[in-house]
Amino acid sequence: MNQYLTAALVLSLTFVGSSAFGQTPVPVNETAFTVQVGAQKLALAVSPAIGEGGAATAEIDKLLNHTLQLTGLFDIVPTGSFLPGLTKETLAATNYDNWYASGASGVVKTQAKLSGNSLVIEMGLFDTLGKKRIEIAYDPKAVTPDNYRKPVYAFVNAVVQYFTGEPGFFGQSMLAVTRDGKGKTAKVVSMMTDGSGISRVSKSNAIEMLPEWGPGGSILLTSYAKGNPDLYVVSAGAGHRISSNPGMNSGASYCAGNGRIALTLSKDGNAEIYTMSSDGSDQRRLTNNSAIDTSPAWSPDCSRIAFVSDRGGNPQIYTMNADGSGVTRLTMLGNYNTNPAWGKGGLIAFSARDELNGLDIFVIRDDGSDLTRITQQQGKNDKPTWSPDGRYLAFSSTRDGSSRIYISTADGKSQNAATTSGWYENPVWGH
Amino acid sequence: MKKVIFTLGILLLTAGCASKQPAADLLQDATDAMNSAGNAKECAAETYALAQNALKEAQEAQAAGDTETARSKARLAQSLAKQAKEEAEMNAEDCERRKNAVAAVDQKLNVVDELSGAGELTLDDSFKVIYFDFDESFLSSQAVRDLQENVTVLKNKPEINVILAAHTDERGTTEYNLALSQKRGDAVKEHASSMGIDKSRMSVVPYGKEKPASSGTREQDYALNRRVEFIPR
Repeated sequence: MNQYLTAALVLSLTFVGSSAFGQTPVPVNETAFTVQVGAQKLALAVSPAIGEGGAATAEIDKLLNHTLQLTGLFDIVPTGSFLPGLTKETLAATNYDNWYASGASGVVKTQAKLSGNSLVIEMGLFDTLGKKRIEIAYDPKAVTPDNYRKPVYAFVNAVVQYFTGEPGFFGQSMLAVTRDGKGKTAKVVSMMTDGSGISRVSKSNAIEMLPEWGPGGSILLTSYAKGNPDLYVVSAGAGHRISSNPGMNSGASYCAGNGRIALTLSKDGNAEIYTMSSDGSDQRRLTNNSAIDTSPAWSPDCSRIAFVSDRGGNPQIYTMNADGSGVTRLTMLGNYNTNPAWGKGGLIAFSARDELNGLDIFVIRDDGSDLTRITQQQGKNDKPTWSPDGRYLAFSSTRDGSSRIYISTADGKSQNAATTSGWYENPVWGH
Repeated sequence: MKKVIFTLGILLLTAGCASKQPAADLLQDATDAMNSAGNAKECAAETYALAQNALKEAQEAQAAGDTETARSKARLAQSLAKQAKEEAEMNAEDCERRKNAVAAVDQKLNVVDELSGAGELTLDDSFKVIYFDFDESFLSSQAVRDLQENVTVLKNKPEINVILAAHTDERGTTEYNLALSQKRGDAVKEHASSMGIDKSRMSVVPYGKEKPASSGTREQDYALNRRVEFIPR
């Protein structure tokens, strides 16, 4: 099979909002070894790791299954469906017929070798109908055993690259808000996109909310450490207060392209949108009316800002230029549309509340067209954030009772939980 | 890193043949390679750590008199150090950019962590809680009557200033609720001001839905949470 043709085909279906590949003809005589995000997943078997990986082996299996699931590209074939003997296979020999008979169009196999403190994880992807090992851009590097995640991320990213032409998102970080439970004090944490490596970003006991990535990997957040919701930048474990006007200093959105933070201040009477330098200086007011204006979100090119305003009687999404001119109302349906996030490719995701007080995620084009529903009647779905490549959305969902971080393909067709325990909300994908 | 595995293979083979280069020389070569690895410690941290580890094992083996192991580990360390140096050179631009960006932010910051303290407030019984309707920030006639009582307390205690801690129920989203609670606090402040209380005695702290008075999900729980509290400061 022509890998590049397949990659181009899949790419056209993967990028919502990209028309560059829209006219790629569908190749004939293709085998089934392709995926189309949302529409056609590939049945993939993940064979348990063999070899001597030590204690890391079971973790490698868990991580491989979890990350491959999160890509939204695969239906993972249950291990119980494998024909006998298959899980003993090395990477060198593959019984393609039996794998195919087990229901797998593809197989991932893993061999772990531990010598001293050096772990090498070899992984391979196999096409069971085409009966061949697929060449993917993965080089097994030696790591210390507690760093087993790194090669697994690299492998899964390479698998995603093979099928879609762009690497996967593993190894990237997210910020989020955690609580001990509903209504408990909110704290900001950082985590990997697969929901692992969760750690607090400050030692404060105060309420923390609305985190954002700042310059140079720093973290912006609103904290009540001094009694008022002030904006802090956290870097190297220490927090520094950069905006402390009376009332709201919240909802920072940082745009690396112009180095400015957009945020909400209420110092002049009610919630208004301002921009300022990344050190908090040079605060400029963008909105000026007696309605609520809040939750600014930069466009990827820093030229425009999406925000929430109830100037029309209830909260709706608007856009404006970076200097506050050119205000345009974007959402016309519903009466509670908030938390816009502007992704690559001109799409804006937001949270909408319905009559039953559920919250759902929607996506709309930045010209107001193509309104798409991402979630429906699955608890509260809130605070969408885009992957840097614009192909995925993360948001929080209470569909399983507790609030979890979900990762969804941009069309909403494949949604999987990244965090599997605890209470996490307000994900913010690294820029 | 096929190269590493290849190198490793060769090393294991040659170690088996026990070519007789003195272990001390190999240890010196490995140490030199580590020292000349440039910024690999920062820019190729993982491989550098593996090299460090191998060198340590070589030194330990040498000290224990196991020269065979010392030789092979020293060769491994040297090879890993070289690899780390190459990796660091490949990553150099990215690594420097990252280091500079972090340094720039650090430089702007106080080293002092200002994110300490819990910012907790204590309620005071002498004031009434002002309640609001769903999604609204105007004062109901009951709210105005309650506010009048609070204004009387403030008039009788001119030495007291208050924080107006403003809240919403849990329906809706975090920052819009924060803005809604700010609006409720502002409405109370304006009314109290029109009743004769100097604005400088009142500061609004919006909490949105972050500090519910009642954690339930019944309508009466929500009603208890849509509130502005007067807290002496």
